[in-house]
Amino acid sequence: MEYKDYYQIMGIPRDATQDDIKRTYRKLARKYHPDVSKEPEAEARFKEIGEAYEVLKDPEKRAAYDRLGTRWKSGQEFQPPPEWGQGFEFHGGEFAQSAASQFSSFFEALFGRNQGGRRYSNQGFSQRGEDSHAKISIDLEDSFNGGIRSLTLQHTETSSEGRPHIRERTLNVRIPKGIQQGQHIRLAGQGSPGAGQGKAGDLYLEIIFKPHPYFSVEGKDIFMELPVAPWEAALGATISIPTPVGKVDLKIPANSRSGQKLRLKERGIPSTPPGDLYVVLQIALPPAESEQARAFYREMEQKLAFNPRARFNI
Amino acid sequence: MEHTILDGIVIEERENISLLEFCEICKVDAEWVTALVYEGILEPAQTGSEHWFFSGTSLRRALIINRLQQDLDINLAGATLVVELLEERNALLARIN
Repeated sequence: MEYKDYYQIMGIPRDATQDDIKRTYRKLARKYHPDVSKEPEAEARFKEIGEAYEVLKDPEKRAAYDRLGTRWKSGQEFQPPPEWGQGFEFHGGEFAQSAASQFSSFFEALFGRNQGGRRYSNQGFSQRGEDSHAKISIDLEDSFNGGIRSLTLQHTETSSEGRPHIRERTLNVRIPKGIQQGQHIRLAGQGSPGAGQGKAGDLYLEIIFKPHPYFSVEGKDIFMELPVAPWEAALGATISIPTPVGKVDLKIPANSRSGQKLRLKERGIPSTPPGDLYVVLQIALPPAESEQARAFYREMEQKLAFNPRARFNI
Repeated sequence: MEHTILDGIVIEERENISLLEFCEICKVDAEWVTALVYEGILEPAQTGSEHWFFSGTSLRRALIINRLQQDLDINLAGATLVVELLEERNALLARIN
């Protein structure tokens, strides 16, 4: 297992006071709380900080941790010394009210398994497992067609000899048709296993749409920018456009403006009721690169008597 | 086992969640839910009967408030304010992206 430098994780010196540790923890917890933070990897950071605080806030655990010495570096391969655990009382203790629910195998090797619940403890030995959270990236098309995604999750498990090890498991999850960015799929009983007769926790998957080359998404509605030639906008035209479920023909009305929004009703995300697809027209100007093109622009200037700034009155 | 396909529920799309199920999913007691209703952050559907039914949006809010309370040690009013501000921020972020 890897050594963890809890002081480095919290960004504090080894001689920090208990007050400093508490203050730093509260600041970091607010910054990296997964429900609030927009930092990448906030969830992982939050757990790591919670684990570091669990050790450093308790003078007894901190003293034990400090006894490992300063020769270790973060991420270095680590085995607890053979005499480890003698004279300390915390093995198998309760870690109630902890911010982080699943601690690393490094923590568990030093201080035992986290047996305390942080939310609602049941009576007796039975303990409900913690809820787990993960993000899952899907294509916009998956929301239109529905589909199955597999994802791999890691969690720490304790073997029959009491050694913690990391287990990977792969889940195949059905993506319901019509799901939207930011929604959550709850998989009952797929979170951390419970202790004793306790039920397993639940797994929550947050849906993230991968960026799409043509479409952007707002709730159930989809937006795309559609480049059109000046004559298509001016005279009207029927144009083939892509949608997440294939091509459709779109009628551009005559005298369309740049930035004009055309709504294709119920061509957005197919939830109930379905969203709409908005096409925003962008008039693309043909470049005046040849003499012929320049002559043609000059001819327009003379024949059209067009003032795009008429509203300025100057 | 690994080839089983898991079907979940989309929280935000759920409707008519009973108080019992609500408590079960959030792992809280009815008293805590009642406090949130009085705080005005959860609005149970008025079905005419005495039983409360909640929307998926309420469920999502309650899950976040519960976590904020536990993890950051903030009281109900504070956590409720955070959730309202988060919703506002997310709506603004969605608009500029």
